[in-house]
Amino acid sequence: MTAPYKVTPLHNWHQRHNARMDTVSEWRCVLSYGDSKAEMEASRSAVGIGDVTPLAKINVQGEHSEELLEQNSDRRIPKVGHCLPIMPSSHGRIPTHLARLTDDRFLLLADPADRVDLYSSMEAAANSPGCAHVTDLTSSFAAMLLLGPKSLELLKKLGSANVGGIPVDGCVQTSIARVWSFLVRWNIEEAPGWLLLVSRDYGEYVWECILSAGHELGIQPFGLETQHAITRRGVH
Amino acid sequence: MSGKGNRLSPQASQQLNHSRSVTFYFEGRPVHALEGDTVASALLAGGRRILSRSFKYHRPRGLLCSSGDCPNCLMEIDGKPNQRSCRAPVQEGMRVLSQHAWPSLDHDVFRVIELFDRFLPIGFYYKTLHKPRLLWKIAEPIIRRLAGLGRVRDDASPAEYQHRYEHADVLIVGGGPAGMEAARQASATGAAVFLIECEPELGGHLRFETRTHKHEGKDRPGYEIARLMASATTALPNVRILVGATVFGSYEGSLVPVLQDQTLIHVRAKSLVVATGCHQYPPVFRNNDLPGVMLSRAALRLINLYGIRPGKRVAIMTTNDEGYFTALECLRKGIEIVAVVDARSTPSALPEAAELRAADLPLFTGMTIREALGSKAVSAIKIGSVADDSESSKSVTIGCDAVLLSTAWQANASLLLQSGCQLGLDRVLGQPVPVRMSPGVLVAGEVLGLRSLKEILRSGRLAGQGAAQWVYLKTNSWWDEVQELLVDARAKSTSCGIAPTGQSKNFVCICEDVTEKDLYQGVEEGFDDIETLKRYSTVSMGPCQGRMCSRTSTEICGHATAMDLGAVGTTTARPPIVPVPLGALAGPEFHPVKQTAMHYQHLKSNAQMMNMGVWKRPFLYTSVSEEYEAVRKYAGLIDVSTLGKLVVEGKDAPNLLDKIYTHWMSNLPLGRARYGVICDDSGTLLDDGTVARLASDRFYVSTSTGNIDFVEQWMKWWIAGTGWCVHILNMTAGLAAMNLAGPKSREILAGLTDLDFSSFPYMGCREATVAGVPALLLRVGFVGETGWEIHFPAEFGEYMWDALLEAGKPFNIKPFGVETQRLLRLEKKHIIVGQDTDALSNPYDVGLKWVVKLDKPDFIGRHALQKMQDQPGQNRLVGLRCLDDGRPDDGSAVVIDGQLAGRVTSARYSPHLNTYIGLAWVPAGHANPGSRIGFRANGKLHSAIVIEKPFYDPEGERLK
Repeated sequence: MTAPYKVTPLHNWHQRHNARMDTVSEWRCVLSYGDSKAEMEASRSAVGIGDVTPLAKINVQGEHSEELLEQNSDRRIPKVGHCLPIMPSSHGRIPTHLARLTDDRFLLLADPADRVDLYSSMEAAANSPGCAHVTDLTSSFAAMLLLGPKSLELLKKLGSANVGGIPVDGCVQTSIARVWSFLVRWNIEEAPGWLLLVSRDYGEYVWECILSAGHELGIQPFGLETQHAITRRGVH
Repeated sequence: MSGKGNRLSPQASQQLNHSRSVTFYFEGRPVHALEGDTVASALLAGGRRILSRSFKYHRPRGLLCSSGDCPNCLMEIDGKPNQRSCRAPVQEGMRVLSQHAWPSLDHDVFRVIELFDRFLPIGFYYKTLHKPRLLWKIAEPIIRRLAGLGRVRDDASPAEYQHRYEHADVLIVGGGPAGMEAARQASATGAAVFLIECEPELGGHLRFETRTHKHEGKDRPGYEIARLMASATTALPNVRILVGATVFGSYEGSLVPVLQDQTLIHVRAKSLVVATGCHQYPPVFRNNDLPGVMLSRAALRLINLYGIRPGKRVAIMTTNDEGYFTALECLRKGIEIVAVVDARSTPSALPEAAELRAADLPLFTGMTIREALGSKAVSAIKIGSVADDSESSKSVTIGCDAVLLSTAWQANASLLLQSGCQLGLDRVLGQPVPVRMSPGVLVAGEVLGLRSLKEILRSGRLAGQGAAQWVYLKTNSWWDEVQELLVDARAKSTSCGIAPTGQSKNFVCICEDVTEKDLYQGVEEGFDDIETLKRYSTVSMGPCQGRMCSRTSTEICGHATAMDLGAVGTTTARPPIVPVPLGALAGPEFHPVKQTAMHYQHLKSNAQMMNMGVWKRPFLYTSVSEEYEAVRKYAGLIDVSTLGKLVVEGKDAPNLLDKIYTHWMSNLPLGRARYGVICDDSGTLLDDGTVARLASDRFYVSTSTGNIDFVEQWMKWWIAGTGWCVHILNMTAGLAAMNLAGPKSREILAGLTDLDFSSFPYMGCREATVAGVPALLLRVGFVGETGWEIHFPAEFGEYMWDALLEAGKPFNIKPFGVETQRLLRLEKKHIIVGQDTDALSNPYDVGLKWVVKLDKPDFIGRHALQKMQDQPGQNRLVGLRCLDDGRPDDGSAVVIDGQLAGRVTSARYSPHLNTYIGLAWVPAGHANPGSRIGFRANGKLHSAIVIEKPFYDPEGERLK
């Protein structure tokens, strides 16, 4: 029997589109769809989309969740509708971000390599008296990264949220292609970027809606090679 | 057809590229146009006068407004019906067809209908075609065939419509001088401005005006001012401009829909500035619809934008100074003017009027047009005295091939009305104007009744500033300031109307061929309210949505009822203001679809998939008998990821679950699961599922597939205000689940996990590693065999599915689908909420009395269920076993004593009993075990017997 492996909800789509795959942090990830240069170019001049489902997503909620998070970070806790980096990555590339959905509900977004440690430490901290509950929702969401100057135009075709009004460190719960989504402004350098979380079971549907709506804007899916090349230039 | 016949020499105001020709095809014949032409202008340039045929009488119709307001130029362009050819720019190779004419536009045999017009009065089909009844059956298909505009082509490829969502601080509708000035002012405050213009360029009416205005200290022609302002507006920061886009309504929540080509844009703004201008509409006189009769602004567009002469010998009918500007324009372009007819007793005092007089043009004052003469186009007009409108009064006939009308104006105020503003009749101006504005809605320009550019710009300035103030301060003094402007300015914009005469062939509504006589007759028949008259006559209900006729019909209604215009009122202006393709409203095909983590494994196994709500589920892999046999004899595996899955945690979680479920949940031991049902206040069964206790303050709850969102919201609703420490997390997407069931399932599972099965009882739950994957196992028996539901992170779905099938191979495991599962559960008499229950079912009637724990002090529905215990319902859900060869279906009627007495909710052939079985609602008196009932299937009555216990393994031995 083979060892357990993790796949994103878009795994079969990637395979059907000749993706070159590799295993990273137990996940089967796309390295490239064959032409990294074109993927990079689309992300710089038009819009690119990457499957970043392995991103760790840890839910913290409850009346005392803010206190819990304050105790575990020396950075300020964001206001509702904002997402801020709160600690550097321990084992990976992406700094841990904290998004505040409501007064008493937060979502930690972290590098896949940091998931286990982050979850354990938060869960241990939550065991102290008080109302704060920690749940790993990594499996619950498909995550997509939209990058490029036309990403805003693309999002305007998919949902009614005032995406143009979301500040640089903002996040919003909205509907994308008629599906509940969590949208985080995720700029990389000066390139506009968006992190989109949708329920995992809608993953392939939303992915295809985005590609369909983005066709006229020149959208290209990109893999880890492009993602890493862009983030090497200094992400956050 | 060539594009040179009616062309004037190139002028600075024209929007044509004379060096680039474009060829398109009209009725299959090539037409040579210039880049910048519209389809209509190109056809007119080639000498065509008839552009369409009228709706009812098939009368010839020509260009009237040239601004997309009237129905006279509707054509089929590249397969799309009802396109306004005066707005459609020519494109190389474009295919244009006329509509509503046969065999050709110039020779339409249906014109003969007009000969019978005395038999086709207003509402004739209500009056004449209902007796005998057969008459309507004959007439209806003929009327339907002849009526309607355009045709939807079956062979046309579906257009791809898009939706887009935009937000702004200030939305300005109308890119004329007032709109541009408002944009400039609002932008200066830093507000985000969105400017929408329906024409292809900014500038409004100035684009086709050559008369000069004072602008920035210099006298400039209107078109030059338009270009300067457009260029400045385009350069403004914070201003987004959309041209060639039509706003077609204003909805609640500040939603303004805009249609641009194939894209529907939903715009929401904090403040709305309506600068939509006004439009002319034709007066009523005999044959006022003949080709060649056109509005003066249409003529100015033709002359100054497209370089086309509206006619060779033109007559101008006016009631205001605008007619003199039109006459002067014609004069300067070398177009012969045969008459200027001014309804006013004294001619204009403008300097332009003096220039006309100096040219010795025939000027008729105090006169009005009585009739246009001609068959397929106007060839002459009859004019007579305004003071004496009797048939016997003296009239003068003047030969001409075009009549330019500058008689009446109407504000484009539909958006204002839909935004909650009120209009009132301004008696000085003679037209309705805004009298009460809604918060955040402002108005500027001609729509206010202003005509002078200076005042139009001033109103734009005030509106722009007022809109920005509203955005930042939610208040402004704009309306008071505008009032001061209006008092003086409107007085300069007066015109006089033309009195109605009540004759036929005086068309009021050119969309629906409603005449003045029709309206008088409608009033005479009792439809004397403008709203009922509208519905009876269909006046203002055509493609122009009343732009050409609503004012006139109001005047006629007032005249016929001897009521004041203000008392007659106006008809309701509903969106859409202009016709919108249904495809644009429908938009792109966003039909959400959910896939389980094992979706592609099912496809690889050639599963026949089915839709279950938004989910895709495997219906069947091979055959029901094969899959059934595997589960009953060996082992089967089914994907149950679609089950709703909630984690309920917090120290008050037990309290919440006791409140929600009819069963006790707070006393559930750790590591155990319990079946539970949810009822509403009236004791109606809402959902069922299992509740497993993972920790003292942590529960895992499963719900039926279709009810997960409801149950989640239901729980959250009941938490609200309690102050309880309890949180609900929907884990449906995050956790995949499969049910491994069958006598061999224990052995298969034992090879994949270290769990001690000897201490894993029925309705127990354990967290363990299965095939190296962390999982939660629930020992349940929905299909009636020893089995485990295995819940695990969804990203392992494919791996886990393959791992279990691989491990089960030596035990003859098979995947099974929803259809087999339905049969297996039916043999166990397990209900499916929603299929076997309805909106009136309660736990007692479906045989679930054992889950209602009235010893609990409180739960939702307790009071009602306690009452029901003493007053049982009239019907019961029972098991049925067929006694003959009857094959009931889901939904078959239950028949007792020849009467309809209930219905079968689920029915399948049971391989175990070798007969058909089912669940059915029957009267309580016939629900006792052994009772015989009838059911109807395939048109015959069959008999069945009521069974109390499950059909399969009634004592539950196989679950142990």
